[in-house]
Amino acid sequence: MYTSRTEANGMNMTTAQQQGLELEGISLSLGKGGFTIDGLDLQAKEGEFLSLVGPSGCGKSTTLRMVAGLLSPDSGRIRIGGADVTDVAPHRRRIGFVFQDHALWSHMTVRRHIEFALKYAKVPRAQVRSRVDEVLGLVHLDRHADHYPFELSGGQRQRVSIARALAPAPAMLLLDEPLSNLDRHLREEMQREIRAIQQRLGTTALYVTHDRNEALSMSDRIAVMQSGRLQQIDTPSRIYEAPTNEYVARLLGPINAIPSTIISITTHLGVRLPNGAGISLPADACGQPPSAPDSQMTMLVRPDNIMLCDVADERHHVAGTVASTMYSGSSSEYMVEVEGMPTALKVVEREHIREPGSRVGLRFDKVSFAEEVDDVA
Amino acid sequence: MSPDVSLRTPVAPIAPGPAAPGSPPTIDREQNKQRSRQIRGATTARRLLRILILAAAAALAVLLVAPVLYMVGLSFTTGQSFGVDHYVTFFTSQYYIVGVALNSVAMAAAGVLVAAVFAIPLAYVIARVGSAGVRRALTVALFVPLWINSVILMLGWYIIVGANGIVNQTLLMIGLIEEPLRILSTPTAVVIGLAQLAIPYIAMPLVGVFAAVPRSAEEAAHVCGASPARVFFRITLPLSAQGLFVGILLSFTLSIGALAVPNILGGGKVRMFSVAAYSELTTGNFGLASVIALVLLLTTVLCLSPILLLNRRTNQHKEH
Repeated sequence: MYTSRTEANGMNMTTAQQQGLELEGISLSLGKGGFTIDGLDLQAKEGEFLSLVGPSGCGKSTTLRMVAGLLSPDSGRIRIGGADVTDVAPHRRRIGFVFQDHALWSHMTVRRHIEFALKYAKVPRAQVRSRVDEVLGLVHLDRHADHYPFELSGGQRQRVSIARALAPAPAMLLLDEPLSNLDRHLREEMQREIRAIQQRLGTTALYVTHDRNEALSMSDRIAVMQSGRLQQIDTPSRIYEAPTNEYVARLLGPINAIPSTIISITTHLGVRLPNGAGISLPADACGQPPSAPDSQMTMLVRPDNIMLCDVADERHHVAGTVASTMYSGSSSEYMVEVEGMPTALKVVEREHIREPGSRVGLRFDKVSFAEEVDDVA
Repeated sequence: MSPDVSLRTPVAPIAPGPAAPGSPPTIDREQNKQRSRQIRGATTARRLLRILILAAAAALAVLLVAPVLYMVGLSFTTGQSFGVDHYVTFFTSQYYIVGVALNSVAMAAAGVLVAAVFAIPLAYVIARVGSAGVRRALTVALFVPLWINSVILMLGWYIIVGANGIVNQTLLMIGLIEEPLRILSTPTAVVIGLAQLAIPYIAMPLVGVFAAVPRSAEEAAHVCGASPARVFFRITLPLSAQGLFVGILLSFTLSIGALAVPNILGGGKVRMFSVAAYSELTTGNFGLASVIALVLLLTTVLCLSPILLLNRRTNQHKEH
């Protein structure tokens, strides 16, 4: 019943091609803090789960609030489901919004929360009760319908917030760090549930988080933002394996950044490392291939994409000495010093067999190339 | 409830549980010493608190309970002997029941209502001022009118709504009326005066509770489809009910016992409890004056009890 969507009243369909969400040239400057969003373009497909990731102050929450209408952009257009809502008031946008602090109303029971949302969605009175029960069943709160917020646990409160946002079958679901107030165990459980519900209802979702694991595990696509600008937007695996710059790479996990020179680009890439060693990598091992030969680029390698082997093994690219090790159960982390390299390389291996001081060979299984940037925040 | 029981603080959170077996005894002794020091500190604080509460209770007894008891005695005294004559006078007279008691309730209720209409938006605007310093300054500014003596404050209304006042002059000039409206010495004037004095008492507690309503609670309702006005009446105001109750309690109590306002703006034609009691006092009829004062007390409690009950119910839904 939720997937069939009636046309929003008062909104005219401008594009024949139905888009979930479309931000076009959004700019906004807020006060004296110097905070700006400058010409942001962003699209989420119908039914897509898109995460906005970035450090605090990068503009991700601000972007979300503009989609909801709680903030107005200085310029640019916002379209939801093909309809231009830039000048539509928040209460006419048919948005479901899940707040970080749950934003429940302490004078209302759980049932009244859902009824409130349904009332303004003009759901016929006769259907309200069954709809409330259905939505509460969806978030496993059927037995708490008549409880007040203070009688609920943190996780249950967030479920109420999610149920309230989903009940009127909104055109778009916006979530502003909804899980950051929950403990770790509950957070993982809720990640799975939110994702499952969103997929079941097919609602386009925009999810703001600063937790990279949350973004990687829940999203169809991730948009990385920095200082009000979009850095990269791609699927979780692409954005993790093939970041276009060091900033994106670091935001999504530990990374080794090795300044290097590109020698040749054919089916294989010839790369000279800072210690003078020349290595050859198959082109398909490169997430983002280098732009041109004879250029200075940063080679980005995830610690889990470096393989350790014996020095005698001919497959290795460079050799180094294990400086330190850290065992963490499911994996082990090694810091390996390679002569001529500015910093030690971080390597994550499944097995814990290398000792500090031992010589090892390193093999780069998967790399990505980015333009060299001097200052990386 | 004896103060001894209510003041006994639980000792458990201070004292750690029994030391784990095998832990060195030195630590145990050190812990014990610390524990007894904490308990001794707590006992001293408790003793001090008990003395303070007894002092407050004594002051209350001397300053509040004793005069009321004296008044009760007076109300039953006719000449030199005991009697209920004053009660009979009060409760058999249309003048006192309708003209004084019911009229007082109506005046006070109308005054509080008018004040609330002005005070609620005022408090909301103040509460939504970004800077906490400005917010505090504006809250204090609410009470500036009350720094002026209420007699003088009420005389100000003569200039505004008097026969030659600003309102009448303006209306005459526009031609909306042909002769001056008579506002002074009518119930309307009294309601205006009472409302003016009540506004700060309703607005002040509301500023605090409005400011405490999370923005996100309002935004959530707004995004749900409620217009800004609906958000205010269905979310913000109910969440602030306790502050409104406090304001109503304060301002109703002040209004129903008002003396200067009905005397000056009512021109002796609008009867309220204090006016009636005052006129009995000036003629030396202390007995009847006491009856009027006691009925005022009971009426106030009676009128406010629904609010107190409502407040208790709201309390139960509040987050701790």
